[in-house]
Amino acid sequence: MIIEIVKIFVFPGIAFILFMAFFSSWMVRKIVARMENRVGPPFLQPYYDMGKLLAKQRVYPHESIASIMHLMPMIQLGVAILIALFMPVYSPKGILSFDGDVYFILFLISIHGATAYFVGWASRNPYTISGAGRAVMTEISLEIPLAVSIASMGIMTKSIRISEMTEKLGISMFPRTETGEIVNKLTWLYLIPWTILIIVAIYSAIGALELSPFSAPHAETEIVHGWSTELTGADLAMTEMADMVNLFNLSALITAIFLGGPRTGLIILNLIEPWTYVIGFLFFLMKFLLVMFILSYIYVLSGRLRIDQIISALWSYFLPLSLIGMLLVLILETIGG
Amino acid sequence: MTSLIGYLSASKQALKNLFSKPVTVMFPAEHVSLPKGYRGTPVLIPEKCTLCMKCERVCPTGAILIEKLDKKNGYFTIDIGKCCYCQECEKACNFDAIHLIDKWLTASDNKEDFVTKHFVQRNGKKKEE
Amino acid sequence: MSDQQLLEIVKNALIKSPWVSHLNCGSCNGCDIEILAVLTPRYDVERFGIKLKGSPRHADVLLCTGSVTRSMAPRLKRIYNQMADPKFVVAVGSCATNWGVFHNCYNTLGGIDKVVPVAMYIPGCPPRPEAIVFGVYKLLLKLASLDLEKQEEKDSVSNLTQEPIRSEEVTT
Ligand code: SF4
Ligand code: SF4
Ligand code: SF4
Repeated sequence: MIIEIVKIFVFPGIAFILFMAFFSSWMVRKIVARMENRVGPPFLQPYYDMGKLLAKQRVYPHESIASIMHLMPMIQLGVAILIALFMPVYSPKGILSFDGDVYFILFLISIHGATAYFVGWASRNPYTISGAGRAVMTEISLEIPLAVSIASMGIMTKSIRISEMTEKLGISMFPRTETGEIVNKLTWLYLIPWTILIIVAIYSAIGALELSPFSAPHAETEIVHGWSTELTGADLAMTEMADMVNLFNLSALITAIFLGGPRTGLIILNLIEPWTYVIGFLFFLMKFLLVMFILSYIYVLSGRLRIDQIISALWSYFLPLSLIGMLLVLILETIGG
Repeated sequence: MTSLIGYLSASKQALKNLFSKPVTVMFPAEHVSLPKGYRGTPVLIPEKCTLCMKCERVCPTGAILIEKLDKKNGYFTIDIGKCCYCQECEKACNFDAIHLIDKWLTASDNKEDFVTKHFVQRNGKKKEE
Repeated sequence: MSDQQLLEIVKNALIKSPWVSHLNCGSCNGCDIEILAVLTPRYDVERFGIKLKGSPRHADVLLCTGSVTRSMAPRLKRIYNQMADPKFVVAVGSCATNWGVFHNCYNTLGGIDKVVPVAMYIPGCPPRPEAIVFGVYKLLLKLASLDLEKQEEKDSVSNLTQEPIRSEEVTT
């Protein structure tokens, strides 16, 4: 009982999630700053930002719907933390885990776009409304490539549950005999669809996080600040925190589904019970930081696309790419099976 | 294709930056060296000034204000909150009495801090050359 | 934790992360370019936690440039009123401080402080980027030295007791 409570509230629950969220936000800002050849923010910067925003006054514009503007950011944060509870951190199983949880997570991710739309609509401001429209359009367009690429990994591992997908990833891509030799040389071909799918998934994650090149929903200085223009004080703090937690979520989701999360991969270690968890956590951290690095690398190198360019890029390049990946997985499954 | 080449060279630069020392000047601790002939705060040398009013006439912003008490004495006021650092006063002065020095960290929360008032007594000696 | 300690924490957080927003009230663009220069890698202000925000509602510090033109004055007033407390205005440039090159111009009011209270003046035409950084740095030092025991100094940073407000109807 005590262990369950500690799990939910401390590690790997809410306290750990918030720490990781702040850490990853700082990490992205620091990597971006270093790639732009400057110093970047200090380590505690996200804590200062949140502390300041939570204490600031709240201002609601004339004729706006204050209750929605106050409620929706809280829903965003709550949903983000709920997604984070599914993420496997030290063992392949997260705190919450059930059959089909991958699709439940996709559903929760799309709630973010919907709440963004409500915030923009409730603020009664042309900038927020156009930002909200853009947010929903981006959300709809990236949802399908992400779902298809996750479904392909599901086909590969024959499961729609994160813990099983994490566990079986190495086994289904590289089936091995008892002595550890790879059975079939053909399985190296699985790396082709895997590369295609992880590229699609990373770009979709960038779209969901509203980073460039898909940052049109809150294009700074172009449509002031997009759908969150009119948020102030604690409301703004909630959306910012939800963004940070989502940064952790999507990196951890890609880590879990495409890189095997806390699994050690091809290395076989025979360890006793607590040490597998420690090693697993270290491997998770390594892979997580790698994904974070790739995200910030793409973020710093690309300019902002226009909204019509985003839509056409997602529908006419990333969706076909993900479908090709799925087709390759199906062909390989048929040959291999 | 050209965009791809640009992308690759940009990514090379980004990775190079990641492992090199940042170009940032850590400002309050270290300073950027000023270029030669930098135009900063105008400063009066009261001993040289003859209250000829030439600088007040050329100053485009009204930053210089001279109140004459009588023929030889007067107050000379410079307000750097108005000054546009154009160096017209230094060029106009025949007596080298006003100079733009390299002082530029002048921010303040009180406008009174920008005003310097000198009491000038004219001693009638004209500078050589 | 007492109210006093909480306020102390809030004050320190505010000093460590001042978000700025930029407003051009009729300047010649010289100062705007210098403000952009402050954000470049050379003078990287993100190490102080300063971040340029597009929306004045998110910002704590409003960087104003230019001697306020007649048509800009009501808008400056409105933007200032709609910012969330605690808020500070920094006047960048000589013409924002005291008219500068627009001396005696009939269509300008001659300074930000004719319209809204200003917390820090940065003279210069335009000021060097370091001078702008120094001005913001000095503003933060001033905030850090506020004595929270005194009521009026406390009011300038705290709003823990204030209710959320609803901004007024827009009239043009
Ligand atoms: S530098 Fe130009 S603006 Fe400043 S006091 Fe001299 S003449 Fe006037
Ligand atoms: S500073 Fe030079 S120009 Fe100005 S009043 Fe004195 S002597 Fe004349
Ligand atoms: S102070 Fe000078 S440079 Fe700055 S806006 Fe005014 S006129 Fe332009």
